[in-house]
Amino acid sequence: MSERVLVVAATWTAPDVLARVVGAASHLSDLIEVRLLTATHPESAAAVIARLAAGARAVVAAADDLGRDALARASALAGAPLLGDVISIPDQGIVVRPWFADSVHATVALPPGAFMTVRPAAFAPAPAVPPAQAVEVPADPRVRRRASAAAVSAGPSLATAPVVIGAGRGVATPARMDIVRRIAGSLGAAIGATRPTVDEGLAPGDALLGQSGKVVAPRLYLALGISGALQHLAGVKDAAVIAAINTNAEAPMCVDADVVWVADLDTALPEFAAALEELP
Amino acid sequence: MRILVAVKRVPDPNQRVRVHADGSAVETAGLRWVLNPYDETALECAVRWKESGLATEVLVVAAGGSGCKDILRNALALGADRALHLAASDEVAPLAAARAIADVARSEKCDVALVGSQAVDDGAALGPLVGGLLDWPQATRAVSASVAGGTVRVERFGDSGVEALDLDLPCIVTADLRLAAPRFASLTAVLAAKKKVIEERPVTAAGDAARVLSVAAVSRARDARRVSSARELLAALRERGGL
Repeated sequence: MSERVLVVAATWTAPDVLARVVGAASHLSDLIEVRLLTATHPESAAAVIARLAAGARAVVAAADDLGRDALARASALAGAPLLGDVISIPDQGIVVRPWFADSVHATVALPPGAFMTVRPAAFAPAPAVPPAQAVEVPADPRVRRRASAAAVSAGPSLATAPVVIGAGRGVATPARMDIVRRIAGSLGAAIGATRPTVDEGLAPGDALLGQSGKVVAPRLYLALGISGALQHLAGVKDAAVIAAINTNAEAPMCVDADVVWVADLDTALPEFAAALEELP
Repeated sequence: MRILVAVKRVPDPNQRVRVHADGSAVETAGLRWVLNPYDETALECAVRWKESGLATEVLVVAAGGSGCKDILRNALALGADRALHLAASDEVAPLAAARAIADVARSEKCDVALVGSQAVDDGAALGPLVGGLLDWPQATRAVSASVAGGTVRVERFGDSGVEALDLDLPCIVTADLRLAAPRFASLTAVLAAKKKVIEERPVTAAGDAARVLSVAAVSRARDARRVSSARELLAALRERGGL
């Protein structure tokens, strides 16, 4: 088996995300090969990835649609072990994975030829990304896309915004969400949401934060009206600073925050929005 | 149409999981175990299809040790017609489980497989593994799914929002928690499930799971400093580098 580590991404993968995946792979080997797929149809992309993977020491992708769907499927085609959501690579043969909604970290031996997905936010970007080659991925005629109906978040991207606001059940009314948007505007923040807020139709589905949504690691995470179920905390706990505004001081979100303001949201939100707008 | 639903036994997500003091493993004594909530959602979708006449049979399978019997019985109470235990002495590695489940899909001539999009314990992706082994098209993280003719119509929750797909049968669909709110099993259904036979087939190759070297509980070292006004909040955020 060679020292070659294969990194796969999509041709439209954000440069910062790709640099971080390469950064993760560089913990495994100096010999990194990058392939960019022209499509991420998991059925045909998996076949392409399994073919490219032959003889590689490891195959690495971001834990996104491509990694979770196509890379996982490719691992079965290749008969290789799959390690998902890797957050740290302390040594060439060792990786760390979260279990139980990130409440336990498992240190696991990396078997040769393993396929793995990494959380880009957990790794520093590589200083240089090796020249990437594009690989054509055909469509699978058994799967047809219909026009997408749902709204997609406007404003800064959750993946890269330095400030992320989480809108929880406590702010899931149209009036309160208007103030949340004012706050986001002042902070240049991306708005994420918990499941009740998404289910109420007050935030689009792609704004869902947590174990079954997006995992973010911003400079500041501002949790508004969020009680902080483990599944939610799993998506935000890597923020450098966490602040919570909540009516309940005992909520897990408040216990796990750096700064907590226990207050009625109908008073606190307008006060905070006004304070931000007064800033020079 | 026959539906296969794969289910997994996982620790109840509403409890804190502890690890052994020596960091060798997760403390399993005293854990409450449940049917993986994502799989429960997949099962609910399958049962609704059957109730509306779209499917003839819902077959539920679980791979692993004897504890699987409990969740299979639970699945029967929730509306599955048959339960099959792919029996092993211990936990089955994901790829080996996927192979055993794919074998069942073939031998039982299933037309569609439904499974949770993830497991609450280690987030492993069973659906794409089974899909790859069967060479069936897949739609993951489905938030809605319906059947019309030979097509499964899915809305899935992807990186860029909700995406609408039509898949030819046979195919595999993995369930987001929003796919179908699970029902509560009625007492009658629970009693009826107790009388049903859980079929059993041995898993011949349990496979090699990645070797776990150590586990650690994640410490939460944030100090939850209290503030009582917007100004104090802004000052605290500045001081800590959040702004």
